[in-house]
Amino acid sequence: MALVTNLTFAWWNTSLAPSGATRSTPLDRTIACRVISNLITQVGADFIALGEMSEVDLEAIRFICQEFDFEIKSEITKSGRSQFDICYAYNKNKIAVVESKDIVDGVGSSILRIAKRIDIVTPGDDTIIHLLVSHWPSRLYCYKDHSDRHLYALRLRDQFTRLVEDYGPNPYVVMLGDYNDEPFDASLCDQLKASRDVDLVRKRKHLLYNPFWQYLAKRSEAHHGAGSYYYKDGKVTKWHTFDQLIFSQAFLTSKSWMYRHCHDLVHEIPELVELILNPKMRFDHLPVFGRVERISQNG
Amino acid sequence: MANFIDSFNRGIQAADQARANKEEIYSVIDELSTQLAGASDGKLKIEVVEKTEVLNRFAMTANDLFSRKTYFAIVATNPLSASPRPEELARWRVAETGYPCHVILPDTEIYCEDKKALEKALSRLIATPAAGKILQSVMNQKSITDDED
Repeated sequence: MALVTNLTFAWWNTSLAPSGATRSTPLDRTIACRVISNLITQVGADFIALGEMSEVDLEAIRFICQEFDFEIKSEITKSGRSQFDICYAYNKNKIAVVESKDIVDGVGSSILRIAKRIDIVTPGDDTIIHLLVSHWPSRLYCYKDHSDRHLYALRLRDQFTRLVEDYGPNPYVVMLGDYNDEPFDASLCDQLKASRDVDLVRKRKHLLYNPFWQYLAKRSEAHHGAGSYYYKDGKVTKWHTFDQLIFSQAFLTSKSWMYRHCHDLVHEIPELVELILNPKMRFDHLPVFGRVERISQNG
Repeated sequence: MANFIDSFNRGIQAADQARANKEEIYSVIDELSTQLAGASDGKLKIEVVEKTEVLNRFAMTANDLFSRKTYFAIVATNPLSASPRPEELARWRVAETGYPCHVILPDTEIYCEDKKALEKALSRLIATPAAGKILQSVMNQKSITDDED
């Protein structure tokens, strides 16, 4: 079987089922199918992690995934008083899932849902890529700078440290999700150590690269949005960059998989932007993605 | 001149706090062990032991043998067994400061920031079907008294 030459990872908070409890209409689910189809055909997504999903919504998108030969998996698992609301779909011709598990943090009687860890491989290659998919709580329930937001980041960082201990000094790790924090917030910057400085990350193994620093504002008049999440009651800004992908240093320095710099990592589907700006609709997030490429073994 | 006394005092205080945290953590595991011993007529003991990674016999190299990793695990043992065989319930890690401690199951990893969270994590651990099966098999290990019969 031929080696896979590139992989595109995408994340979209669907808004279909906050905390896993469905509230979607048939129209919402049809729109979600179109967005997923668009991610596969226009972005070339191979792995799509979806947030705010329920089992009902998963069944509704199953057929569209099958149409593209994608496998869909539910990661809706009970955790404390609530549940993880994550599902994922992947191109089964390019990706095999080795294992998946919940990463949680107990604080007294509360459970913080840190991430879903999903380990994948590609055909003919033993390299494991570790995906850590997160959907951290909304600022309505866990306000900005709440100490728990630091704990979320610290424990996600601990998972990275653990991967270093278990898989060697430079593991391939992609963190993706809706952190409900901006790239510049202390949780992601100081605790997780997700840096804007690609050159510094190349030099320092402990740092992670966060390309979403580039998406803190409207990049040009041709763009429709100014981030990935639209909060209609925002006082200073309605747009936020809460949805991000963060890459370990291996993707910048290794001789196997390399991060590929792209121009638009927030996928602004014009019709979806319109729905997001429409206060009658539930959608409020744009999908985000990131791409890695295999380095040619022949130079 | 640098004032080292403040740093020294902070270090001593941190060491005391870490020791107190670890005492609390292991008191929770002892309590779990005591309760399960009571419920199993003394056939269960829960403890933390250091273990060595199992190698794949068909794929191992000499290097693998010399660099075998060790880890800590929460295990169940039958003290009344003729030949006690500890069975692993979960992998286990403790921070240098005590908390967070970390219970690692095949499908979930639970960090515990305090005593209550640890108690909940251990309750969850022993309530899983996988743990129930392991605890049953440990209790059913042939006991010394079985030999005497």
